[in-house]
Amino acid sequence: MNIYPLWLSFKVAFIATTFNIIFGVLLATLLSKTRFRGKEFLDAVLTAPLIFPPTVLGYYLLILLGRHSVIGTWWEHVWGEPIVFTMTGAVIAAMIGSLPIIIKGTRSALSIIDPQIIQAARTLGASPVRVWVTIELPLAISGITASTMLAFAKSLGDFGITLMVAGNIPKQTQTASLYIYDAVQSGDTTGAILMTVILTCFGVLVLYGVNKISNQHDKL
Amino acid sequence: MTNYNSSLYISIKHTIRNRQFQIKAQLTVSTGITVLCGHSGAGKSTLLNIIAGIIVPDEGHISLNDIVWFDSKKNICIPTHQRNIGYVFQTSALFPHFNCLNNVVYGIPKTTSKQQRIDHAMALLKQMNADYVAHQKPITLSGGETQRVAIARALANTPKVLLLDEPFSAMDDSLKTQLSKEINTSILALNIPVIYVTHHETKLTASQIVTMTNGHVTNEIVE
Repeated sequence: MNIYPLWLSFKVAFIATTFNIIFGVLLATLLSKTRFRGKEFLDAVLTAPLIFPPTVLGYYLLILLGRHSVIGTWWEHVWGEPIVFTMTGAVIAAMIGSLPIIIKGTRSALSIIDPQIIQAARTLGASPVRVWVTIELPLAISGITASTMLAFAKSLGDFGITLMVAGNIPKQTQTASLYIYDAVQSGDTTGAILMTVILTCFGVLVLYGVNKISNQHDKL
Repeated sequence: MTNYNSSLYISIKHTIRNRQFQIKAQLTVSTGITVLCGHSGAGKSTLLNIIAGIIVPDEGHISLNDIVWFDSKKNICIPTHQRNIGYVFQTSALFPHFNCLNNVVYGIPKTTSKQQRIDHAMALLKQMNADYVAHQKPITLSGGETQRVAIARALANTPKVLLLDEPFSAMDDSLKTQLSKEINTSILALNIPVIYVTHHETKLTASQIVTMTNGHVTNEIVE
């Protein structure tokens, strides 16, 4: 079995999740702590990847990031290679697919913090940023960690968006899920089964970890 | 510690829209303990939250001596963290991820060294007879210990006004009496305006008793 797709999947999922932690936590804070016009619309747009068909999302991204788009042209001018049909495209595809998981998980974790704890910190002279860093994020860490693990698992197994944006190029953009598809198409049953078992084991392990974290949080 | 007589002036109107409930209060709180009493739902906690800046009233004026905290006409609203108040919540609201010592250290301004802040926090815990729980997490404390730590924490930033929102409500009568007696001297020694909210009798030495009914300050008795 070729293990490069597995390595690429983990690499893509790791990079995508790293960026998603930053963007996801910031966006979740923005949505849960501030009031502004269009907030509900922004929330709907950011959550949409959870319910949109992957091909629809992938097609949007192709239009937005394609070689003839504004972003795609600028990117290619700066970095010398296009976004689409590269690993960068695979990372963006994984990011878009899993970002809502971190946003929803973090929002939920932030929302269950006792407001009086936050108010107490404010009365002690702590600025909103200090309260966020020293009180809210530490108290929401279980929810953030659990949603990050789920987002990583989702990124690792992404198929549809990755196929549309990054293609299925062996040794370049072929992730584990795409490898399974190729293996089944070409009759490589052993390769397909092995990769499926590895992804399944990892997925179950992640869910087990998430449950453990959630149970620990419930006991607090 | 403030060495002169402070005076907190409050004159506000505020409507809680989803309850169709109006808070209307005009009172002056001087140095010493002002007991704010009234039935549950009378608006006592809301008034404290307004004084603390947690709730912004619809209109009115709040000032401490010559410092204006809120003035709807002049569009002044000093945020909570700049009002320099001590607030003891009914639920204590200790930070569950810190030990008791760090709960108190959190409120001490970072103008001194870390060791000095720790020493100051220990002194406050000792003053409240809670120094023996300094290194414990709040979840391990009894109700009385929790509120002792909460009061110590509220004093950490050397507040100019102290707000106590039924801090002993969850305790039995004997513990309530014992704690009230214990903290009475400490609070009076602060020499600042203190508002103590309760719907029961109190053993604290009140200099003023104010009654709140249906959101309105109806009775102001200066003792």
